[in-house]
Amino acid sequence: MPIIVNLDVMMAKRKMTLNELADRVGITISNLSILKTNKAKAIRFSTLEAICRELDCQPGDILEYQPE
Amino acid sequence: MSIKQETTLTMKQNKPIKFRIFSIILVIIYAFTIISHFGDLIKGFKDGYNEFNENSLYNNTTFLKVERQIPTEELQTLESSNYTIALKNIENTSEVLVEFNTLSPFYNFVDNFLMFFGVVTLIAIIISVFVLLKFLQQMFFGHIASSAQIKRLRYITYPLLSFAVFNTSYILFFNHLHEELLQPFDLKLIKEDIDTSVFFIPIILLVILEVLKQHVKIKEEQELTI
Repeated sequence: MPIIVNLDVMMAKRKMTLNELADRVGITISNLSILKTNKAKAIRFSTLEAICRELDCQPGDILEYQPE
Repeated sequence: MSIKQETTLTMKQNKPIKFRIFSIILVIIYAFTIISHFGDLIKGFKDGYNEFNENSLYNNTTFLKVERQIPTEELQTLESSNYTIALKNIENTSEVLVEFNTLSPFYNFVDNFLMFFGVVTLIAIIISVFVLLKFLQQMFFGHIASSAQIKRLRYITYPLLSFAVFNTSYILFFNHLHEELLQPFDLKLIKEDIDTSVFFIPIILLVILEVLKQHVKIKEEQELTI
């Protein structure tokens, strides 16, 4: 998939663990892990909004388009 | 959500009543079909066995049916440059039996070759019966759209489709071949009918297969939506 999720980069910048972010966003660690490892097929706006709010960033900081 | 609604939803999820009813009906229908076909199989075997015992030349002889073009008393043995045929009367019909005693090695080879594929297809169909029972067992418990069920359905569909293709090709090929054999004698072959209904079930199953594939894909995408 040409959409890359740079969640791990933003988490490292904010020094936040997967557990902590999952707690704050309100999704399970396994779902967050699926998102982080680029296995997710889609992301809800509500989830994206919560992640951006907790990491204090823009959607473009998390999602990146790389042509195949 | 009220307690009543929740209970109804849980019941629907835990007890796939419709699937249970459908699977039971299918097993009953299938059992009856097998019983009726088993009777035909035994009858066909007995007929063939008796005919073989009555005529020791049966293995080297091919019988064809042609339209009656000459009176009964004039039925005789005819010869062409390649073959000799004997015309025999069939009582109370407008058909005449043609007996070929010598046929080309090519004819025998094709016949044996196609028979071999027919046996292979039959074995595949027998295996697919067991796969069908497993499919229905899983359906009884409400598991219909999963990769394993799609795989099972594929094992049921493709042998049926192969059988349909094989059966039609066999009839078409031999109708053509027999027409060619009878051409030097100016006789009109009574062709075997092609049964296109054998394609019906495999095609329906292929459509169901594609629908289930789409369902599994959508389900997977939904599960991977975070």
